[in-house]
Amino acid sequence: MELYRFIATTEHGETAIVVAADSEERAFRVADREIEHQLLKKPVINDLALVEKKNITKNGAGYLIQPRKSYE
Amino acid sequence: MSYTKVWADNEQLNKNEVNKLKKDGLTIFDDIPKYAKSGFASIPKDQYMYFKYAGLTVQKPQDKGLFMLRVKVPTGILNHDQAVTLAGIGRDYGRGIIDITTRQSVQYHWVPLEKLTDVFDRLKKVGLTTSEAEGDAPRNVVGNPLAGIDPDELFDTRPVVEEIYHFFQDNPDFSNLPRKYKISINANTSNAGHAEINDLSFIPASKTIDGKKVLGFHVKVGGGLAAKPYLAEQLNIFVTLDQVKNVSAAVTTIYRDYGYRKSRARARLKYLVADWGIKKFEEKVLALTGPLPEAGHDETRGWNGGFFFGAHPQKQKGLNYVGVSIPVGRISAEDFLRFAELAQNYGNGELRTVNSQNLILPNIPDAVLDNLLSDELFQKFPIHPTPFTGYAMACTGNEFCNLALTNTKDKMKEIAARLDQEVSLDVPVRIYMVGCTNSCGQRQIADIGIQGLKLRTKDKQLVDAYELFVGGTLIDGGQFNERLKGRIPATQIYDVLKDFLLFFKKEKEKGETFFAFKTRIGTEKLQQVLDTIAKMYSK
Repeated sequence: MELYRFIATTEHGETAIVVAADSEERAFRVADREIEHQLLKKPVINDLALVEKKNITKNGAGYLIQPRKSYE
Repeated sequence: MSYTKVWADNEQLNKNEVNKLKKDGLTIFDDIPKYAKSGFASIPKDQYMYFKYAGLTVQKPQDKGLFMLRVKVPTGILNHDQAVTLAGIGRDYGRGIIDITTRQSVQYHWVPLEKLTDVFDRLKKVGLTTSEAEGDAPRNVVGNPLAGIDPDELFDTRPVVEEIYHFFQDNPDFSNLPRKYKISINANTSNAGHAEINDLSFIPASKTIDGKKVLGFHVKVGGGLAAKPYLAEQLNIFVTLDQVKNVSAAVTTIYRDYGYRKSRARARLKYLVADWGIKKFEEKVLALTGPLPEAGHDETRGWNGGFFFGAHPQKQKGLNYVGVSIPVGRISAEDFLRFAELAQNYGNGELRTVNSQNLILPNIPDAVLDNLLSDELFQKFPIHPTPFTGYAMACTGNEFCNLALTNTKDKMKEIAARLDQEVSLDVPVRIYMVGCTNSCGQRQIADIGIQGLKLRTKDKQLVDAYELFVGGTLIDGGQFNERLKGRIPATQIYDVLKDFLLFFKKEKEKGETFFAFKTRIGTEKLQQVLDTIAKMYSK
């Protein structure tokens, strides 16, 4: 399993989405599912970008979600 | 071991640290021959981390028993026997391919486990090693690839690189550091050693002491790129050549004993420097070294990006060095051997690797320079490369790397070759491509950085895509490039880049570099330009 970090770009700005999945394709599907499930009014998604992935080891894996710095 | 592991009783050590206390990384060399006999499947997965100390990474897919293998080349200098040996290893065990890295090392892929002992034997015979080319230890010492022959060096750094390399190499006092540790020793006045992105850097300096001008070094600490880049900060000390080992040992001891070992994500020296501040770090260094003179005059006069193309006179009258372009650092073992033969036939046999992933043939006498350059190998690897191909770099990419989201080396080569056909500029533009948020391709210091990602577009297409970053440099202490908003599908990246560079061509002043241009017109303007171009191609 890997931990994927997405950025969804909507008309209201960018939203971070973190997904655990065993392939990139499945990760995109899970990201879609979470967007639909978590938001009452589904936004118009301009694009959904997979920007980072990490292997989930026994010690776990994670991301710090914060506004991106200009160099990131 | 002549020191006490002061962190040993810390209850919050990460798993690697606990393992390293039980078994030193360098002992992996005792295990490899046994594993080579018993087969890859016999290696417990918890032993994979130790292979790093032998310069080895288990290569994906992880069940095939193949390794990425890295060989150290201090300050990039190879003698003839070493160059021939490296070519032979690539031919016999690396599927014919050699990569020159951004730390002047040489790297192979797909090396089978059962061949490792032969590789080690061959390297040992010519004085090369893979030991500590990876792992939590001092990595290859980078520096001026023209050391000793450079008209623009303050002094010859070969003896001090040799001293520092041998001091740290396989030294059990420094084989258990919190994380990787990168040293740069350079006296080229154009910052050929990329001081600001190393953990410990010695940079050219002078100081008047007792009425006499003394040449030596200033010192920067804590630099590094990765996902959280940090530019090295300067200590207020002047270091004479006889003190380099003393200062290196002090900085490395501080890192070893105070560096963070709880989380590997926070273990590089930069986190300690950022937490302590440079003043406190300096006090700790001086407490170990004893008094040192305050900083003198900085002799660095700019940054050449690590590029040394063309044939140029050395500081030795009648001799020349020839800088050759090796696109994105990848060369066949056969061609590498041919360069080694040319170096032997025309020069003194030396080949030098450059941190811009290129090669140098040094010590070519005036009388045979033209003959050398008429060899057909220079058609394939030019000394005056087309500007985009010559100044492009790329990380390994998803071909071999588990973290990368996109291809990089092939894509970068393709983009650069096309730009060379259609955009002519009076200055080179350094374009570096990476396939993830890490920085093996040094994206943050590129004129234009390209970072790969996977994108699902509005019309539900899943495509490779890229983000652009503009204006990175190591001039005047360095500056990371800035991200422009918007993601560009792989199918459009070439057209978008071309138009973006044509805008640069149209608006730039004569001789103005991309960094100077970006500084003059601003990121906001470049964002507007990119938006306009991207909109045009997305229709």
